[in-house]
Amino acid sequence: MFNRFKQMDHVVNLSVILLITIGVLFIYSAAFDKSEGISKLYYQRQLIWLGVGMGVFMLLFSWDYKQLVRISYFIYGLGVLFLILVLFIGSKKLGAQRWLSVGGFVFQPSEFSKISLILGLTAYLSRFSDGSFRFRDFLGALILMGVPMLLILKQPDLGTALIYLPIFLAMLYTAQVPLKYLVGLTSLGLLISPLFWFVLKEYQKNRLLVFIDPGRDPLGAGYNLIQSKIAVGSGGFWGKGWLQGTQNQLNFLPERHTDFVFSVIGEEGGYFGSLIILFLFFLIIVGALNISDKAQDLSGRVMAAGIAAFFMAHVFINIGMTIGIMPITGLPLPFVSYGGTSLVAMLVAVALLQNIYSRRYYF
Amino acid sequence: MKFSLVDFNSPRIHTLFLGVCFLFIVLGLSLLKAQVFSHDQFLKLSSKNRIRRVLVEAPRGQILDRYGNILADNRPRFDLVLIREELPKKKKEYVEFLSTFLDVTQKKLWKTLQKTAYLPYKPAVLLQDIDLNLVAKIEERNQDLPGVHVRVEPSRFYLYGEETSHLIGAVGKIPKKEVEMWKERGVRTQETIGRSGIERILDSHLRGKVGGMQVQVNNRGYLDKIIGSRESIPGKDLVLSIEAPLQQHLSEQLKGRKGAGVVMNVRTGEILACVSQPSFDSNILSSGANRKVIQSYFQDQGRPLYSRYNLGLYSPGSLFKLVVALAYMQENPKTWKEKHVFCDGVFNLGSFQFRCWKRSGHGSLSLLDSIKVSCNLFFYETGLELGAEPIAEMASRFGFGQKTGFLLAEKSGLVPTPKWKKKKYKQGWYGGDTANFSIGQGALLCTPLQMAVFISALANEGSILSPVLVAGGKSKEKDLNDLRPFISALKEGMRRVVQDQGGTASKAWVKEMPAAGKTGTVEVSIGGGEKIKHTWFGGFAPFENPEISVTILVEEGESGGRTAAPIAGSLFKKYAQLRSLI
Repeated sequence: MFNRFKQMDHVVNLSVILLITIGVLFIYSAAFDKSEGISKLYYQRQLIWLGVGMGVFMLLFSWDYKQLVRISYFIYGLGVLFLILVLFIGSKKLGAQRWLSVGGFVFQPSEFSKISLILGLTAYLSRFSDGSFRFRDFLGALILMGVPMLLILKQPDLGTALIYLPIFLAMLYTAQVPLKYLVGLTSLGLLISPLFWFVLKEYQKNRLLVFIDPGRDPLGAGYNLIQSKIAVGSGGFWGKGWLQGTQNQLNFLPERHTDFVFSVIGEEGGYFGSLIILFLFFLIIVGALNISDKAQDLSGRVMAAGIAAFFMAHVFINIGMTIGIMPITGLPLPFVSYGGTSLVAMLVAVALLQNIYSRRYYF
Repeated sequence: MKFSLVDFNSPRIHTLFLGVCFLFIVLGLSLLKAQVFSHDQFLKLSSKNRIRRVLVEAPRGQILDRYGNILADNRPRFDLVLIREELPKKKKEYVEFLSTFLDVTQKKLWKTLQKTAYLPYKPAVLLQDIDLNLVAKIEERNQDLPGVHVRVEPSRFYLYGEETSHLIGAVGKIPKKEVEMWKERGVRTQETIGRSGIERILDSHLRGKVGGMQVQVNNRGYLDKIIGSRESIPGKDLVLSIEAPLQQHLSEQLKGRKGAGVVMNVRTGEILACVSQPSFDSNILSSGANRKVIQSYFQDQGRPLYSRYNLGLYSPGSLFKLVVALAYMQENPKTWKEKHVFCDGVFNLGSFQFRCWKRSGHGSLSLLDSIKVSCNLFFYETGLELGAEPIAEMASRFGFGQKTGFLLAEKSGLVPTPKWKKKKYKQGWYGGDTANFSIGQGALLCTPLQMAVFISALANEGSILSPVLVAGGKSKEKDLNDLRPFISALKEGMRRVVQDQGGTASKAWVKEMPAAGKTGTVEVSIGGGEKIKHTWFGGFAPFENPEISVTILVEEGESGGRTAAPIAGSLFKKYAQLRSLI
């Protein structure tokens, strides 16, 4: 057991620890109340969730992922079940039904569903190690992704649905699925994407419209984007300093301990801080790709690739939205944003990565 | 711990790696653009977000009368404001409720809310200067009225409202067309300035210097901290020569009429009272809240905003006979006492007939008697004997046709001469012109203020004093010493006007202040063959050792003796009462 600890990818672990630390610092800053001189308790709760996440990490790390793959369909099914439950008994916040309350704990099934989709697809794809992947099988994979995706869109949660696609593509790509299917799917998706306009809710349309033109509704849908851009841009190279960001401390930034925590980092830490964050994520994601490359079997390979895509999509969409190169969706910045389910899900993903990596030499 | 970046066995994973590199480069460059290249622009925007300048207006100086009675003061004013963002979600129902609760139309409520639609948390004024009952009503139900606030603003308060309005004027915001002018004087656009009267002319004395605060606000516009501040410096007080009770009395006497009155100290040139009626309320004009009343000021036929004593031009009528008399006395210093004219009611000038106001005629009159009864015939003849030029010269010596040097705006009026007529109308000067001129009619025009200066100069026997409004102000004095004996003699005629049996101004006589003076009644055609009479009285008291002069003009009166003289009489009486109290 101890041996396997030594076999972990320590660069990835160290990067994760640094990101969580930075995250707690800026959650503290984002929730800091100037008049009281103290921060709201979010940072403490995040630390409690970190403890929970560490426990789950140890559990999943020690349990051979190959055995986990055997029950992956079950986990996948559980994920779908939660998504169905949330439609019926979920609590509403900001017009979307995304949360399940269990004994005082609030749990966000969409975060769990990202992991369960990765596991489900891993189990499915690992059957095709002989390269016998046919169009029929491709349709099967598509259904596997499609079911939770439709449930997610029903909530509605555009951001999470957007995360599924890169995960799906990266996993199938790594599983040596013929390129024509993937290219075909991507082209088809781009062709029919304008049709999605008609199924979008009003506020989702607004978000996309202000993404194109933030000035069209400066105090409504465009407000978040404008204030976030001002925060990040006004940070300059070195930033305004921790607890010194005016956009942050004077409440101009919305959702700043959760989805927009990067705006706080951009304002108070400047370009310097942003680069540190980018570099740490780069190390984690390239580490995940490396783990995929060195995995001992196909299931490990596709799982790690899926996790790499999972991180990459979060980082790109979240940071992108704070500076207006991506539309605003409710996606957290991995390890950094406040949110228990998200943090645990991210640590689960890291545990799976280390699980695969530490068993790369065992046959 | 071995970690080599590009050492991938699988080509597809290598491709994914390249994709990852690309996405990170996109993020890195986008952040570089936002945080480094566009930094200045975003930093400015973030400052604009949080920093507000708050103007702290300096209290304006008080305006006092000569005895310290307050004429213009400052008081807190309560405005009802709405903060759109604090209104409940069901706006429509709430607006319906507010409409009945506050007794304001729904349309006005929506319109007010619309004003700040793009200015989050900025209060929009719904009602200005609400009364204390409404303030109490709102504070009582504070809990049920989200977004409704009472804001306290400094405001100007005129204790004598309508009675001092033309003199003191009003304050207000800077009108659009004057923004540049005030900016050059270093006044900020949001400041309150004097818009008319003394408030405007002596604005820089009264206004003081605004203070200001630079504050940091949060997203709701609420104060976070004060970055810097500068105390405002209060404006200086101003003491006027006005005597408030006298001013008030004059205003009351003229109320309901169109006219003007000036009370002047004949020794110092100080103005003790000056009134124009109809009038307006400085309080209403300054607050600007009561649009309907302000609108009526502009539309009223009586032109209440127009100040008649300094801007109104009138024919002096028979009062001008005093000028003609002096001109004649100066030309004939030895013989004027012997001059007699027989008035039979009609004066023939070529083919024209000029009539005396008394159809039956006055009989034979000396100069002083003709002043007493205001005989036209005497002055037709005397004027024609003199010719227009000596009369015009005498009028000019007393300041007619020139500005008096008054602090506020004034008209200079007109003294016609043959030269003037030729230039203006390309016509010769006829005997009829001289005849009209001799009884103060025709093209001759003056302001009641000029008349007051003239009457005062008669009272003090030759000193033309520019009117003084500010206490302690020095009058510019011009002495006509050569006329002293003639004026002294003429005053006897003026005494008879008031004090003798048959004088035209016997109604100006009060025993406390035996006065001397002269009446005037001017017929004015107003078109359609209709005529109205402008009536004058100008006089001074006490006859021995005069203290004040009173000049009264009433438009559309009956006659100088019956309309203007009694008003003057009551002022002399009031003045005497006030003196006995001291």
